[in-house]
Amino acid sequence: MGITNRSHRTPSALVLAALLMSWSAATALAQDATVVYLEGEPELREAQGTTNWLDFGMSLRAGDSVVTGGRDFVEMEYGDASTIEVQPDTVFTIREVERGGERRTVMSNSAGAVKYRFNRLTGRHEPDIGTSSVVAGVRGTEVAVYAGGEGSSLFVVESGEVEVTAAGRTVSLTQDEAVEVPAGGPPGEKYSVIGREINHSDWNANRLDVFLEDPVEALEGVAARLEEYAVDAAEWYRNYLDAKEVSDAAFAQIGEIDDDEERQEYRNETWRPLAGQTGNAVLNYRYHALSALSLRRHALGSMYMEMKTRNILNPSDEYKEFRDRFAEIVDAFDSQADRYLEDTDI
Amino acid sequence: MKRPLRIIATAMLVALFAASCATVPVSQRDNRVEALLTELNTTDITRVMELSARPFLLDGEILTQERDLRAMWLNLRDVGFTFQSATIEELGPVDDTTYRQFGDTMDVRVWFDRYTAKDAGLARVSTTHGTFLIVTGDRQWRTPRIFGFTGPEEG
Repeated sequence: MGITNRSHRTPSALVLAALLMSWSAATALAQDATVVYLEGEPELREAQGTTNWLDFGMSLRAGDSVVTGGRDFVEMEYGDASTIEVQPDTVFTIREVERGGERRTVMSNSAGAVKYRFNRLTGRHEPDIGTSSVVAGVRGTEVAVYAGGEGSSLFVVESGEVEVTAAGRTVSLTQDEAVEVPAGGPPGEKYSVIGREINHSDWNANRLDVFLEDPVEALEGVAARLEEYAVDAAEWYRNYLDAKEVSDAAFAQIGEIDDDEERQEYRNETWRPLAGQTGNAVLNYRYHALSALSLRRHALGSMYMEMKTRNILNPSDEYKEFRDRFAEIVDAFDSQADRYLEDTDI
Repeated sequence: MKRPLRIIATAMLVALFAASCATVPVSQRDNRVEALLTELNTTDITRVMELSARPFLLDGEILTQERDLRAMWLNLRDVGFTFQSATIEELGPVDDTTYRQFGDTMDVRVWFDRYTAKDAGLARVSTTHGTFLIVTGDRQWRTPRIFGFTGPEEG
């Protein structure tokens, strides 16, 4: 295992131009999440890797994250009438992904808890929501999403509808229903939350107990999800290389057209769509790679910390088995997902 | 010694002390790192958290969350772990190759590059629980902060 030489996969200036073009088009459609209330000292981690204190009025754009500590809380307004509440000890991120030719906003928390209230507005798409393990579609919804320290997720619906899909199984939730999704596995059976008080701290403590009962099995769930992300990232990376080749050829063609009007038409009708496809492919392989990084950082990292610190004086056989399997998973991650990441992502 | 000579000698000693203070950061001074370890072993978790930088490096894992860092120290306390009877065997500045001692991965390389302090130090510390590598840097008054550690070394 060594340091990856990343120079060969830096998108060319041409692709970056295409990305900027498609991003600027998307920005016109996408909505920012604006901070309207906060407590404590939450942090804003921007897409380019810089970290600052979050403040009132700041806006989150695709790629940005809010990180809260134990005494922090953030409320954001999204669009005209939707709200997002980031609870303590949470990492909340907004990303974009292209699906079926359409740019989608994905809001997820790789740790902690987030409560959403979406008021459906005509002609506007609600974002997908989830954790670093699973994403769900929502419709006019009040929903809480909890991320467990071992990669599992919990969706609790207060109103509206949520469709949770993972590992080929979809569960539809309506008012006062909840479902848990283990990392790498399908959603469990949905259950009613009427009369049940659910808070992230207690739920996460319970997930930690389950993890400690069989830490190696829990690792396998995360490993399976990481592998899925790696496969998707690799596929989109191949798509990017193919699209780039075609786009580059079309760009070269532009210079060979003498007639101004004809050149402009070729640029707009032929090259721009190809450049847009190239930009979307970059967006998608980055989406899968960054989702994998979130899972690796906030689930795998947390699991390692729990096992290492509990076994630092007298390493148990179970810990040694965990450590060996953990090393294999991290090696696999480094050799696959890291190929698509930049230093500023870390 | 005549009075002028005594003044000159004192001035030279003061200058020498000031120069040594200016050139060796707190995070790379044996006695200050010892003070850090003593605090980590004995003070309450709130103070330990103040002395701990985030993101924190535990072996090859980057802990970004306050919750994880707190859990780390609490777990260590629960199992009875401290940097007990710590002896600093080596202490010097972090360099471009230090990361390999924690893990030869992109995560660790970038963590050393982006998240350590400008005055980052690396201490090799032997304790009753084994030998550890500790990354120090920055300071809170005269005590450096801990940015990460790995260990105990095996073999």
